[in-house]
Amino acid sequence: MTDPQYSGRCGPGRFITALSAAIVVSLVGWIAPAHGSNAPTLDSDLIEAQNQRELKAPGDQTSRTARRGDQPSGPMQESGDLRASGAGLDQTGSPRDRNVGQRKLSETSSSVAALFWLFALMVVGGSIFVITRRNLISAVMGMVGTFFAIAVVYAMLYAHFLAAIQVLVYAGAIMVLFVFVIMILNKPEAEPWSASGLLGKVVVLGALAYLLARLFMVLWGVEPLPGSLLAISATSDTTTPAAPGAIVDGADWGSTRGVGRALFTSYLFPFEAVSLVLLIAVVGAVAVARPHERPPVHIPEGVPGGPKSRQSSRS
Amino acid sequence: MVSSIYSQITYGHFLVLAGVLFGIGLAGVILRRNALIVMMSIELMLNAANMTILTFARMHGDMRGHALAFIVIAVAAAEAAVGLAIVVAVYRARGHADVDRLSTLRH
Repeated sequence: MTDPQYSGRCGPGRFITALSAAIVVSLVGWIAPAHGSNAPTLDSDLIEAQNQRELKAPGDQTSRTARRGDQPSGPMQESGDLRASGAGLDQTGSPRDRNVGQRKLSETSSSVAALFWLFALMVVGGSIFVITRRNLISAVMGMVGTFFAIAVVYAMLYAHFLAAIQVLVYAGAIMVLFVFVIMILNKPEAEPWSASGLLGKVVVLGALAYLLARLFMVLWGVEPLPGSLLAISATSDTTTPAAPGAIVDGADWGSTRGVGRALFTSYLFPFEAVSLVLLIAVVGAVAVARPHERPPVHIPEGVPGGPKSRQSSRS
Repeated sequence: MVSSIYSQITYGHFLVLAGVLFGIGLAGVILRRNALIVMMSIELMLNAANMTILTFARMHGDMRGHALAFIVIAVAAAEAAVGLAIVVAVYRARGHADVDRLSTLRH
């Protein structure tokens, strides 16, 4: 391509995509056995965080200090305290698995945290990369890398099936669609940024900063539900009534079977409605993107199909 | 205490990550003029919403959040198809896909 706008400018996007794909492929083999065999390592982290937040969670300062003073278990970082609540929350239940989980906690908590920070950095950096590119192909490549990193974050949340769907649908199908359209609309833009002038920049950045500040204020205030961090079966049995679609088996959580059971029992109608939405979207996309037809030529009277003959045949 | 923020990953981390992703997508929608970048930013915002749904599903131990996220992904695919078709039609009709210069539905 002779256009300098599109010659060799998509290096960082390809680098991000290749790096993220390589990291994802290498990490899936490392995370998956640890999740399938024994107590998950991320959950050990979450149990410990739950212990800390449970002590910090309730109410105002006075009740917090009173509660902390009443706690007989001493420092909250102590392993005995952790083991006690971990035993209550453990989903596997057998002592051997708990021991494995305890042993893994000291080994892998920092590495799981490092993984989270790595992929959080990839998500944030990739999305910033996307919205700052002038070259659209480069933006799409950064988008694919961002979607891979988001898929890893989904896998950290034990949504394995949705992580796979994320890679297949987003990084595969939707991004290919974007690439096709970008190839059709191959035209560099003159002025990529919308905010022009000092006043516009100030207003836009101020509005964004305000929105982000409110978002952070809301999100930092979210408290995890006490006692329901890990024990899916326990919470589904005791506190939450087990809905027909909810999975009570911890081993199925986030798997294809679990998502399918939820989709085909309690969410069957939305599932079918989504199929209809997709069909209508395909038809609508074809109807909208079809090239404009020429205005209808004048059909002389007397010819079958003309206006006069149609009118006469109707009357 | 500061080190525990970095070493202990809680659900708040995932929620804040989703919030940051949503904010970046919102910045892309507001700041960029190219319709394709705006649509990619919308996809980023949908992903942030999905991440929040999955985090709360894990927090509450309810698999039905995964079904909701699945439906969100399917609807996002439909939205991308229709939106890109509209972008193509607008580009064919006007020769540009600049959202700041689009003010009427017909020309």
